[in-house]
Amino acid sequence: MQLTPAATVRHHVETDSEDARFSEFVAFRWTAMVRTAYLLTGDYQEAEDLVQTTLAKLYPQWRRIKDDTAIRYMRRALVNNNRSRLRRRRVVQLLTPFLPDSPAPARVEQDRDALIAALAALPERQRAVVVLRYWEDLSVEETAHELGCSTGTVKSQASRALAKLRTDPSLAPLAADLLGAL
Amino acid sequence: MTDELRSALAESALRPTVSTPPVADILRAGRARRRRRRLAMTATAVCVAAAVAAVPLSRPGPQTAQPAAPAAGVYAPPVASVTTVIGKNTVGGRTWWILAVYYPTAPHACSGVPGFPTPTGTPTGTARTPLTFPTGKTAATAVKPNSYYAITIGASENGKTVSQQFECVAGLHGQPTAWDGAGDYGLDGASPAGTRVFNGQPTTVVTSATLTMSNGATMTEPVAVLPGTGAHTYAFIIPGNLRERSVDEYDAHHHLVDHQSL
Repeated sequence: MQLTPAATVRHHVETDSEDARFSEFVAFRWTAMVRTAYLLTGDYQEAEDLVQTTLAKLYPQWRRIKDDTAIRYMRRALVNNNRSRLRRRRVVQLLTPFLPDSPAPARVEQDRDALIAALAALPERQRAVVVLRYWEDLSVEETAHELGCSTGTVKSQASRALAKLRTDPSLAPLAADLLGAL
Repeated sequence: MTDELRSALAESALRPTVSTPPVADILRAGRARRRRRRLAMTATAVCVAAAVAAVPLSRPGPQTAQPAAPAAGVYAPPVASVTTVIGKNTVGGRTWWILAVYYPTAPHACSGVPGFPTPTGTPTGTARTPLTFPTGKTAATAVKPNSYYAITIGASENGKTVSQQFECVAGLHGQPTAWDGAGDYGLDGASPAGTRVFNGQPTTVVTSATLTMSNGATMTEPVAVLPGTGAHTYAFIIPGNLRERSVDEYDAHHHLVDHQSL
């Protein structure tokens, strides 16, 4: 498609303007998104990669995303991309006989605290429910909307997740009042 | 009651020091992704339409003899591009399809993607997935990839392509190349919200996979063998209003090989 000179100028101006808006969004939301991703993945490096990939996927659609929905859009994309990441991990596991052994990330493991390790042990959807409900402070309805499921599913997944956290041996060293509160 | 959990989550989440946002890198990756999508929309529409029309002929079924995985150390890659259909479904009145297009040389549309050469021929980056040769010889991460794919996901309506995008995948000849291009996203607003792709790369004995959805419905896809790598793969188009519950993989005799709850 050939653009007229005027259309070309308008195209560049719009692109620059959208890039500026996108860059501002990234700059302002990066830290919060990495922290949410850290709770979803249990690994800081993977969290940064997840956020970076998600933002790159978001960019081509940025012009259609309004400011007031951008955070919600990004949060949903983050959860969905994390799900895709876990599926790919499953693929890698299937290919494990062909893959070179990777050294155990001992230091990463050490750096994880008990709660992060316990979260990482939860099924993906339960982990997402916990993170969205208790870290992002979304309501049951909002969490259901983000995950594309019913409110009943959110409640049951949250209940199961909390029950697992309560009985997770890695949380044993934590204060009894936290375990009791869960 | 859950305030303590909120506090504990906050304490854990706030512990790592977050680096500064790599805005320039993200913009660069985002622009490359957008450029690939636009190129795909214009340059491959005709090829894809032809491929879709030929689906019944080119799509291997579970009982169809597949090209065997390449023997260790002996590999003759195809000399021309080959299109393999690895998933097809009708969602929202539109026919969705997933194609793997093998290229004997790197397609120009993938220039700038890690692992692909630039237009000047200079290789950039490395293969995404360092793999081990069947003989046990490990491929270094710096090895230059020599197997190229575009995984195309698109939709057609009344015989016309209405939307498509693709992902570039670089790999090594003779190796099962992991495809990580598909994600949970729609295409340019052409899909009902949440329409997405589920893909897997099973072991070589698997010839079909059955996906069970949250409403109990099932979909079965035959396993396709990607020319140029010998990798086995399948893919499902998932309607946005459903979730995946489990996937079962079967061999040629319909014996269950693997079951995964999702």
